[in-house]
Amino acid sequence: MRINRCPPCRSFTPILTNFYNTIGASEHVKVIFVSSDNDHSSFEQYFGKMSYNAIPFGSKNVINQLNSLFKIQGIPTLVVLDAKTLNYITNDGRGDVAGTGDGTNESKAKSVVHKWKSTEAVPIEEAKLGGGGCAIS
Amino acid sequence: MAPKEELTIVSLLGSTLLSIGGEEVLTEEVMKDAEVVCLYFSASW
Repeated sequence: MRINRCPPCRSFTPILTNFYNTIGASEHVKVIFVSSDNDHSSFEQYFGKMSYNAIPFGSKNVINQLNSLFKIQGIPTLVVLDAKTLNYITNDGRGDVAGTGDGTNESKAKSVVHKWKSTEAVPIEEAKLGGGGCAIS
Repeated sequence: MAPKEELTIVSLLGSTLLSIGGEEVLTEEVMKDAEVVCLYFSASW
């Protein structure tokens, strides 16, 4: 998969990392990095800036399945799911998290998570999917 | 018609994840107390 240069990823990743560091543990939120990197060293360098888990670089089948299942057309995209039911909450998690500023404001970050938790999650097959930032091919 | 396969956290994410230290950890262990999971689709440049 070829990735175009993506400034939005560069600006959003530290915000998401701050957001996760601020409320991940207290609000029982997990973030999983699904990489579209082409080579292992790029993946490792990028993942080294994150504080959450990732799909292993070599798990191409899992990554391709996730890209297909959620109809990922561009990056960065943050898909939010109910962790118990795996029902879909939103694919605009990026907009929600970016709306907190730099991700370090606990009150704003908690508000986002509470909004997600109060959203009626729907089965993935019923979700309106697609969209994203920089095109991937 | 074949029954629809139930989606589980392992069928969705695989059996293992990478921790920040680079070790592989069990997906079920990572997710056991989670209420919300965010899948971050991204790449370096």
